[in-house]
Order: sequence, then C-alpha cells, then structure tokens
Amino acid sequence: MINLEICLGTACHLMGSEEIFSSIEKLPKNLRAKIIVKGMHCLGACDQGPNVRLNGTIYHQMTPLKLAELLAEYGGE
Amino acid sequence: MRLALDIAQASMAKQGEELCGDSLEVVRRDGEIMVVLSDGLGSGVKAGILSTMTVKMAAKLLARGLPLEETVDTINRTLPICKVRGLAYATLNIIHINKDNKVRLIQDDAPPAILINPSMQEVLPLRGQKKYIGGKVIFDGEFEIEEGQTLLIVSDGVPHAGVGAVLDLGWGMEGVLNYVQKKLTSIEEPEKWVEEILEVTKVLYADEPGDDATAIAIRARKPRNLMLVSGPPSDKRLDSEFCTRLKEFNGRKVISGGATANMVARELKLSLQTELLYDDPSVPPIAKMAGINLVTEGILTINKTLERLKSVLSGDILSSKKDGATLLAKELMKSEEIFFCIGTAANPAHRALAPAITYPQRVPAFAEMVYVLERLGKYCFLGTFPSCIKLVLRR
Repeated sequence: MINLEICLGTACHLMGSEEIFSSIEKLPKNLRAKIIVKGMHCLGACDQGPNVRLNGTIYHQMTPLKLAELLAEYGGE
Repeated sequence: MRLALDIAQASMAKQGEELCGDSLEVVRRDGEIMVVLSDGLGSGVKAGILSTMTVKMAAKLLARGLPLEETVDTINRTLPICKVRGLAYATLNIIHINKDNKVRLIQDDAPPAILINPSMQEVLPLRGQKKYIGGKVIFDGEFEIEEGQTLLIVSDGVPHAGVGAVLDLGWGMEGVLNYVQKKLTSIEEPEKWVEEILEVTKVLYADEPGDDATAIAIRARKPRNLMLVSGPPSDKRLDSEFCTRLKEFNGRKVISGGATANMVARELKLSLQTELLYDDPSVPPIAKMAGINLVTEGILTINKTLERLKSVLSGDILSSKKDGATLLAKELMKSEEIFFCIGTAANPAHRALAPAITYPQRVPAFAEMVYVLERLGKYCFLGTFPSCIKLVLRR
C-alpha cells in the first residue's frame, strides 16, 4: 500500500493542495486502490508547498502530474 | 434568565423554477430578534420579488423600531392586492422575541406555527387571536418560550405537499403535526428539524415540488461560552500553559490554525485527524481532535468566517455547508460569550511566503470579527496570550 499524506495547511492550500487532492480521483482505478490518502495540517515546509508525504518521505512543490508519476513509481507501474 | 436562540431555515423552489417565492429576513435590534417570513403569490421570479419586497419592507421598519402593529398596517396598506383573485400578493409571518423570552407571533394568511416542547412530550399548534389590522384579518399571539422548546414556522408549500400526487388532499397541518410528534424525541437541533421537514415535503411531492416550501425553526437554549485560540505563543516555553488553559476552559473550544492544532495535539497528547472534505474549495478542510469542538485552518478560514458573519448581520441564515468557515460561524453564532485568545508566534515560512497571513494581520481580522459579533448581540473578549487568560478568569 502507498501512504499518501497531503498537507492542507494555509500555505499549501494557497499553493494548490486542493488540486493535488482532487487529482487522486482521476488516477487509474487499480493504482487508486493501492493508495491510502490522509490530510495533514502542516508538514513543516510551508515555503515549498504544496507538500505531500509518500510512505514517510516528504516531496515539495507538488503538482498533479508530478504526483501521478511518483505514485505510479511507488505502485510499481 | 435570558435564553439564547438558534435559528435555522431550509427552502425549496417549485419544480422547474430557479427562484424560491418564499423570503426570509432576520432583524437583530437591541438584543431582540425579529424573524420575518413571506410567501409570494404563485411561484418563480414574480413570487420572489413580491415576498422579498414584503420582508425587506417589514425588516427595515422593524429595524427602525416601528411597533409591530404599525409595521403590519403599513405593509397591508402598501402592498397591492391581486385584482383577479382578490388576494394579497404576499403572506406575512413576524416572530418577535424580546429579552425576557416573550414571543409575539403575527401571522397574515399563513399556516399556524408549531411549538415543540420535548420536556412535556408536546407539539402544539399556535394560532393567536383574530384581529383586524390595515383592513385584514391577522392572527396575533403571545407566549413565553422556555429552555429546550423549538418554534417551527412553515410556508403553505409544506402542508400542501402531496396534493394530487401521493395524497389526495396533501398531508395538511395535521400531517405536519403528527410527523413532528413522531420525531419529538429524536431531533433536537433546529437545522435538523428544517432539513427533515423539507425532506418529507419533497418525498410527498414525489420529488417534483408543486409549490415553494420553507421551514424555519427557532430553538431556545441556555447561553453558552466559547474559547477560540489561534496562533501558538511567541515564547515556546508557554506552549504547555497555553494548552492547559484551553483544556481547562469551561465551555466550547475552537482551534483555528494548523500550527496551533499541532501544538495542542503535541502538548495534550491527542491525535489530530484532518478531514478530506472540500464543501467549499476556497476553505481548507477541518480536523478532529478529542475534547475540541472544532479545529480549522487559520487566516483563510477566519476571513471566510467573517464574510459569513457579515451575511448573517445583513439578515441571511447560515447555509448547511460543512466547510470550516460555515462551521466556525455556526459555533460563534451558538455562543453568547466568546473569548478570542491569540498567540503571537509568527510562522517564518508564512512571513516569507505571504505577509498577509502573519500575526500582525491576524489581529485586525479578529478585531473586525469581534465588531460584527457584538452587533449580533454577542459578548466578545479579544486578547493576546497570556493576557487573554486574565479576561477568561475575570468572568
């Protein structure tokens, strides 16, 4: 399973974390089934948002495309 | 004891219409509350304009202190009568609740009000005495609302539900009363009452409402107090005291801000779970923490809450949305004494990213919120930590 934590704090929200969150819905069904999504109030890197944490590793300046690529990698696809 | 009042409203437009022909205005003046509901003749834009004209006129006159009789008289003499049907173009309901919990109910061509009294397991239809004001028959009644009671007002679209569809003659006021009696013990919140009544109304119309329908519920309850904390203290050594003060506060508790929520979770060893619901995409999601009534994001939610409170001040009722700003506005509206305790720590990342969301900008947002809340009849105390605690202890 992939543990995906999305920071939804003020700075990340302003930088587009809602877009990151809604992009999960558009992922292929088989990949989506492997992801456990959780919201976070702050990942402590507000100036580099939007931030996400994938299986414990923090990734900065996330975009829906970048996240889809990372998730595919983590999902072994 | 002066009771606090929670007001909820739900409306539904006739099938095929964009606009609901029922209109509502809430006037708050010198600690008194006046709720005005009008149902415009027919449906759609025309009915909407007529009922809006009626409630706006009534609200303006009441807000300027004109007595109820004179307000009703002025409206009856001013608004036109339909030449074909010989009816007024809009109905009128005025509920006036004063500081001593006395309710005056004035109804012109509207279904009887309903008093829900859970402690006595009673549901009573309320119809005042017949009077003639401005050449029209008006029902004028007075009673004292008690703690736990709910006053329910509906427009005629509610008792008419089912006419010619599910039921031959609709469920009528008797049907509405029976339904309320059945739900007496299971529903408490006014929001839930109006939601449920409109839901049944919709079902009886077989999902195609034949008329505009509105339900308003006003519940009387004991006054509440609330503490809102936003921002950690500037001195990290005070974090523990800040969190203990919040924990020990006797009332409802709200945390506004991610860093503050993380600090409280850490200091009080509580788990913080962020929800992933975007009911309004411009407001970041809320979070849950045991013992805390609401956890929201900080400055964006505060500014959106301020917008919602300003709309309440101008006579609107808060929507049933579940975003942080609407929920926070509801928490504030349900409290009578509100303590704002602001921590002065600045988030260095925020300072670099957006100067508008750092501490010095947060205080004016709260100051404006206090100004709006005070005009809504709330007692507010705003201070920075630790001096804000003195305000709490002094009460």
